[in-house]
Amino acid sequence: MAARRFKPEGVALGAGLLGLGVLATLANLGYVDLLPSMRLTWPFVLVIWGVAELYNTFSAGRS
Amino acid sequence: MKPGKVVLLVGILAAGATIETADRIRARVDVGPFGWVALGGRFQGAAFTYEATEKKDVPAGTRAAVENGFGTVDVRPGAPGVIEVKLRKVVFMPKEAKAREFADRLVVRSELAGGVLRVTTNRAELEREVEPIGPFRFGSIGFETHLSVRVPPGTEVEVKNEHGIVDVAEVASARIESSYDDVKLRDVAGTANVSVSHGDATIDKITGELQISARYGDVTLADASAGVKINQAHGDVTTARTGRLSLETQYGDLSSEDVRGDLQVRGEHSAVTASRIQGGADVETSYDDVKLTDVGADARVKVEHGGATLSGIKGAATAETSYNDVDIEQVGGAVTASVAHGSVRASRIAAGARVKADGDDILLDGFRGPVEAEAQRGSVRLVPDGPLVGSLSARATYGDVQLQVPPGSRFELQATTDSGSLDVTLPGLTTSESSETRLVGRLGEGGSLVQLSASHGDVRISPRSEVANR
Repeated sequence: MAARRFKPEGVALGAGLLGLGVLATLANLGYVDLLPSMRLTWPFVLVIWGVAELYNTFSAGRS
Repeated sequence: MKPGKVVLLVGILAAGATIETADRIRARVDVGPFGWVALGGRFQGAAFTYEATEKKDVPAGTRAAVENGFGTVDVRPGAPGVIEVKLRKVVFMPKEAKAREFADRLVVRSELAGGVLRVTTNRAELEREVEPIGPFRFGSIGFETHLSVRVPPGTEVEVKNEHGIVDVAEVASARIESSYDDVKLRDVAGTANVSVSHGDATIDKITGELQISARYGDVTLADASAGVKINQAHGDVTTARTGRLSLETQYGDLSSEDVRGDLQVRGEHSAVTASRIQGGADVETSYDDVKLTDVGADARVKVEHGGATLSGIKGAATAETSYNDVDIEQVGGAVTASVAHGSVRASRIAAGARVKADGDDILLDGFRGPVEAEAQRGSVRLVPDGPLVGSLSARATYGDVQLQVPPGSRFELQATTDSGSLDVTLPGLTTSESSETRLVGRLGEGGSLVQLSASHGDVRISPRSEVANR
């Protein structure tokens, strides 16, 4: 059985959905305001994606 | 780069731009307590309520000025020499301990200076302070401050509130400014000034002069015995038992009963219905109709794209309308009516009439005094109330002219038509000139001149009884 290939965009999408869900839950509990929180944190999705792409490139070069 | 990655990247950037824009708009647009702030979560979820009371001794004659940001304000008379402020604090937080800690810092601020006790809270400071709280709190805490103020009897009161109902009663005078909720005001011994931006105003029993400025909301007013001045933008105005009433409005109707003085209305897109006006009435509006009933002096109405109905006018009645009719009944003074694209119907006129209609008929039924009537593309029908002795001039360009002559009338007659026929059946008429298109004569001993002419229509003159039996 072949190993599943690592997809950086999948990591970015997953992280984005995870973050959105966490923020929405916190907002419903009254701990944060949803819109300002999303405005503050959305660029982290790009950061996580970039890190995943770098990891993918280096790991492909090593193998 | 794979197309899927490009699509995802564009999607993330687009989502980010949308979030940025939405948050910036939210910070700039103030749409009231049920708008963006509510959607942002400040005024929803768990909330805890706390109360605090503060009393302050004040010299006689001290005025009270109350200012609030988000919550109701009510002012009532209390004990002499004391102003008592009860602050009800509603804090929207999930944990009671945190809410209590926050509520403890929320206090009444009162300061006596220059004969005025200024009452407010420190909510403005807390609103600034709590944004942000801690690393995970990016918004502000929602909290309401409801103020119940008891003032000495006979106190002059000022109230300024942003979001919340203002309810003031039994004070010497009142000045109220409200932005996003209703205003209720009653039993004011002196003057009152009410300004409300987004909300209704309900006002009752004002003894002194009253001024109301309302932008988006209805005004309901009763028992304002002195003069009333209302400036309204979008909303209806209903009044009963007022003194002199002056209204400026843009998009809203006026319904008024028992005006104990003059009525003046300057409206746009406004229907006006008023009855029992002790003074005169002066109404200008557009795109809707005017109805005035029982006016104690002169009545003047000007309507663009609307009609006018006037009845029971003790003085003179003047109506100028377009694209709708004028109906006038029972006028003690002279009638002046001019209609573009509509008819004029008038009855029981005591002191003559000057009437002009373009596009429809003129009917004057039961008039006394001199009459001038001119119809373009319409007929003229005249029925005097008693013996016709005053001057009368009636002209129609594309229509007939019909006069019914009561018994006892006397006048000099000139009747002409350009392309119609003359039908004159009048016992006692002495004819001095007669042709198919022109007739000159005298009825009885003669008197004032009666001129009837039709350019493209017939002229018919007959005894009133004869016509009535037809």
